[in-house]
Amino acid sequence: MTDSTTPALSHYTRTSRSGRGGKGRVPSIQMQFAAIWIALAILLLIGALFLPRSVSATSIISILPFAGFLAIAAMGQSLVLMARGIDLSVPAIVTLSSTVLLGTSGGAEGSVLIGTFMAILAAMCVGLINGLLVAWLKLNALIVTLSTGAIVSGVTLWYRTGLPAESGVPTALAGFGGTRWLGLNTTVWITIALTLVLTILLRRTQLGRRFEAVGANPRAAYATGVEIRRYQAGAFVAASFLYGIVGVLLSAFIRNPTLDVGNPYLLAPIAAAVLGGTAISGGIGSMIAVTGAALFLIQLGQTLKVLGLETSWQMIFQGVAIALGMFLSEMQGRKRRGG
Amino acid sequence: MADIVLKMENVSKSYPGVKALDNFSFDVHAGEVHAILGENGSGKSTLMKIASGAITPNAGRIEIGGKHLAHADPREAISYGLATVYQDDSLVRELSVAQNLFLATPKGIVPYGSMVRWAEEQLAPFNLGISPTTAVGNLTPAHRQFVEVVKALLSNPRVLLLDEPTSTLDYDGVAHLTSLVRDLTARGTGVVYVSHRLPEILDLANRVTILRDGVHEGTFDVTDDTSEQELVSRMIGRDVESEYPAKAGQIEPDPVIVVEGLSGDAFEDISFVANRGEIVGFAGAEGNGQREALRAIAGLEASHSGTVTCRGKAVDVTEPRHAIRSGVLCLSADRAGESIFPDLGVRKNMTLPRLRDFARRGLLSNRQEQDHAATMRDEFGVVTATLETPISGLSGGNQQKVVLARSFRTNAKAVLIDEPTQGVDAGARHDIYQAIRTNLREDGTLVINSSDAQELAGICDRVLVFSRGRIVAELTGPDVNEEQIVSSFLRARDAKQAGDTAAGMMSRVFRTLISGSNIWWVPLVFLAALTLIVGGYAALQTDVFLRHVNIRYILLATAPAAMVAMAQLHVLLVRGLDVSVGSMMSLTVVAASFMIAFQMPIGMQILGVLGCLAIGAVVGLINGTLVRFANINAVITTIAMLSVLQGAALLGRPTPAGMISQEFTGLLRERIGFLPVSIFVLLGIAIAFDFWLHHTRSGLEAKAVGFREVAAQRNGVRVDRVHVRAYMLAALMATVAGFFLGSEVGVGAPTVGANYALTSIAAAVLGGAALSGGRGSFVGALFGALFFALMVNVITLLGLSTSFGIIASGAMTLFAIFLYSGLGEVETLMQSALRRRKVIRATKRSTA
Repeated sequence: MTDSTTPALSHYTRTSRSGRGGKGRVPSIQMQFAAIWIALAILLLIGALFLPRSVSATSIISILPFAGFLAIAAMGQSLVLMARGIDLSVPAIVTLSSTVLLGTSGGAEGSVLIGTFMAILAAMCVGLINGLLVAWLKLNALIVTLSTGAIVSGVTLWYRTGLPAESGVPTALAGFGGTRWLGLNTTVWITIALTLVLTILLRRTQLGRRFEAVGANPRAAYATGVEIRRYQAGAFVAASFLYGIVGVLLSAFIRNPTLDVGNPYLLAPIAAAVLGGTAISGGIGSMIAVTGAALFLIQLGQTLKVLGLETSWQMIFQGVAIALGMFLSEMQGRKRRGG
Repeated sequence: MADIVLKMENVSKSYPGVKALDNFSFDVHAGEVHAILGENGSGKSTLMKIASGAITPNAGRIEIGGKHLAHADPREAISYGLATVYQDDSLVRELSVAQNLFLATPKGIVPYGSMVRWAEEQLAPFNLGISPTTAVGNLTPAHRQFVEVVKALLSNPRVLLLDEPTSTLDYDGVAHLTSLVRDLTARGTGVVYVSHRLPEILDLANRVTILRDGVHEGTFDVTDDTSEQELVSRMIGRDVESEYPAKAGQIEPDPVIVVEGLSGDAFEDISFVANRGEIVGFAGAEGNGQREALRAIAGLEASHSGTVTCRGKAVDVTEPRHAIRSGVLCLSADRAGESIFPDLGVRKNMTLPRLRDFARRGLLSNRQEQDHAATMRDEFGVVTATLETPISGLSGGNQQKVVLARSFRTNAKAVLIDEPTQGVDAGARHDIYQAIRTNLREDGTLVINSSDAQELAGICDRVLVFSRGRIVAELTGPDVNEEQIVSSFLRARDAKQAGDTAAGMMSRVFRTLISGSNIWWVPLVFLAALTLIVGGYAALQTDVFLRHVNIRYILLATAPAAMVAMAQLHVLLVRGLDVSVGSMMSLTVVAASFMIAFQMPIGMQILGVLGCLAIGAVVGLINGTLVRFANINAVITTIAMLSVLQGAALLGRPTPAGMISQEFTGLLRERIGFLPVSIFVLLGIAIAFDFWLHHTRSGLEAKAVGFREVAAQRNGVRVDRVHVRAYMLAALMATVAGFFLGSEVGVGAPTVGANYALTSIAAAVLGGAALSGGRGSFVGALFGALFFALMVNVITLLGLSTSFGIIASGAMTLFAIFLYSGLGEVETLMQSALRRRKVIRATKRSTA
């Protein structure tokens, strides 16, 4: 009646998983995460063939920090999407964190530690408010984050007017932001570290597995005894922590950040999350794939720039990519559900 | 021989893992009642859905009134003369009885204005004593059932399908329905009567067809000699003894869980004890509170009062996680909704509650988890390709085994199982019964709710019978058999209904008073009050406020906001959301700077206006198509559209440039006295749309789609068309809002509309729109927008910084959605906290 335990099962690995995935079901999920790497490879290949300048070492190294900022923000957005929310307050939080850094670190000679701590703390407070409103009061995440985004922008604007117009980050932080280690900017290393930590947290800890369950089916998780609201709110807080880090790193990189610093992070993180295979229906996501998607989007932008197209094209491509990515994953989901 | 009004030939339908209907054939004659008898899961509902065109069979042929039903299309089935009364009705609760009946008529038969009178005429012959203007949600379940029947009869069907029509009816209701069915058959209508209530079938039916596990077991004439026993034995038709494991035998009274006086919305004063080593069953006809009571014991459903103790310790029944901590766990009957994680693998589905066992210094040991999952799979006989296969790919029976394995391995002392074999094929049932008996812990107990009396008889040591939310009988020992169980819930007819308690009434009044979004004038009054307060305050602070030029300025600023708020409302009404309206406005401003440019000939300008509107129509069509036909989430679709439109606007005008024609902007800023004309036009549009919404069929359809899409669809509303129309109207109106915005800024500014997405939602919600769909008022949205313009104006006048204005707009939006949807949640949280306090007090008392 049942097949007995085979030794192969207990020594399961990734490859054996796709190898044994009856009727192509299991590989289809993996495909969701692998697709973006294939797309990236194709983009690089096309670049190498027709636009060698877009894939030169200097070009790639110069865009990597930007891919890093986007990847960190996109991982935050993915966490929120995995918990069945959506976060439109990202630009506001990134700008807030950057401005708080300017305000609390005390200028060029100031303290990096205090500034960074306060910046991330401020970001996380906004995340906490988002989380409480969405998880406990069950308010619509889109509207809540649009509203808190507006409120936070207003507060940041007000706070910024109290600061000297030409504020810069502490020199030590600026030095850190400009440093390269083994040829790569510190931001890149931090992005890699965050990707790994989050991947392990999600895949190999109780916390991550419960989080996945809450996203996959909140009602079932609730019935199984998981405190779902904590995980839903936690997603917003963890995401804001990441946005806070983006704010700090971005400020360190550009040294004199303005109030526009967060603007690119409204739609691009959503695009990266969706292209990275994050399921909008919750639960499933891969931080590694999301990082790949960030790399893809930034490289796409670079390619367009080398082609001489305006940056606005990037927004159009982004929008099309979101819709296309969603459409493909929906098709795949339908195939899976339809059996 | 009378005409054959419905004929099904060799119809088959299978779902992944289950054959719901296997080569089934039957026919119905005019003027006869043809009963379909079968257990739960025997394929009755599938049969009904296929006959009514709701689902497509894998094979077979259906003829209605001699016409071949070529496609699974409910409208086609209705036009051939088939009507269906669904068990879960097809009524929209928020609409009135008359509106519901009206929706079911073909277009143009009944004038909208005479709807109520017409409905009264339709209801009159049935002597129901209900007013056509009552909201369906306020009717009793029995009355709803009759409205459903009346609605089905509107089309004068040749064949009527009744799916468990008496499950919500009391004795009088059943008698009423019986006479109704007799009238119908006397007039020549064929009736298909699906039920598992034998007395009714014997009373009404001319013929009975028996279904078992999707297979036609035969059709018999019902004669005076036909006995219930005969039908039951044919319906069950299997060797009962061998399917079920041996029972426990003598049970010593040693309570594991003690329930005392538990009451909730659907059940009242439930008290019982489940002993060590015992399996207790909950029986009753569907909808008599047994399910809710079972769920409430484990915290899955709210209870108002009463206590549950497990092994002498009080159980916190406010949330499942607290109950689980005290050793009580409930496995829901709603497998897809509440027990499996569809996209996750079998392993992850099984091990979730016991992850702690595999953690080593914070990290999970894959190896250990794999081993445990494999053991669980083998013990419960789960058949799956791999442990990583998503559970949604398994058959119902295997899914159920997975969640049973999970539940039994949580170390809960009391496991409550709701419908252990619902949607499970016959083969797996035996395994599940075995698993249930063998996993009953030495020191534990099991409580099972099932609508299958035979199943209860087979596995339970003791059965409690529910009727109208109360326990009305207890069967023990040899009395635990199918006949006794069924007859005791059929006999229990006059038990008092467990009604809504006073607390429930109070909270309903409270909610109506505060949220009020279902009374159309409450948001308007509320907005008027807010406007007066803010305006009054501003007038006191500065005399500039009331100057004509300032008033005109506010009203001019209202125009784009009001237009886009009404645009958003169209989408909100059908339960959607359009985030792209703001960038649609930006794009329109940019497009206008090209196509309606300064010093262009008038003819070109008119073409330019049309061109802009055409862009809007295309954008709306794309949004609607992606949402409805590509099935992409509305928020994501419109976010993608936002990105595309914003990019296009920036491509056109990277920085603000290009004058818009002054004839055009002048036209939009035309005034009468000191008042801009636009405000009167907007008011006219708002009133016209409100008239459309509340006084036309197409408005009613939009509301029905927003409230309850399934019901709208069953009534033949073209749901997809309604959705796409909403997105197109939204984009078109956003384009017009863009014209107004363009008349304000005068040049092609590429990001000028960016903040209007938020404003549009906020204004619509402040004006009474509900995110849950169906509710809203265009005049309300207009006043919401006016209030926003007023706020911005006052902030500027009072010399407050711009940051304050931005904060205010965000805060107002939060306030609006909190008011209309957050308050109810606060109330739920408070009630749960109060109940929790009671439980904790009880715990203290029991330990003291």
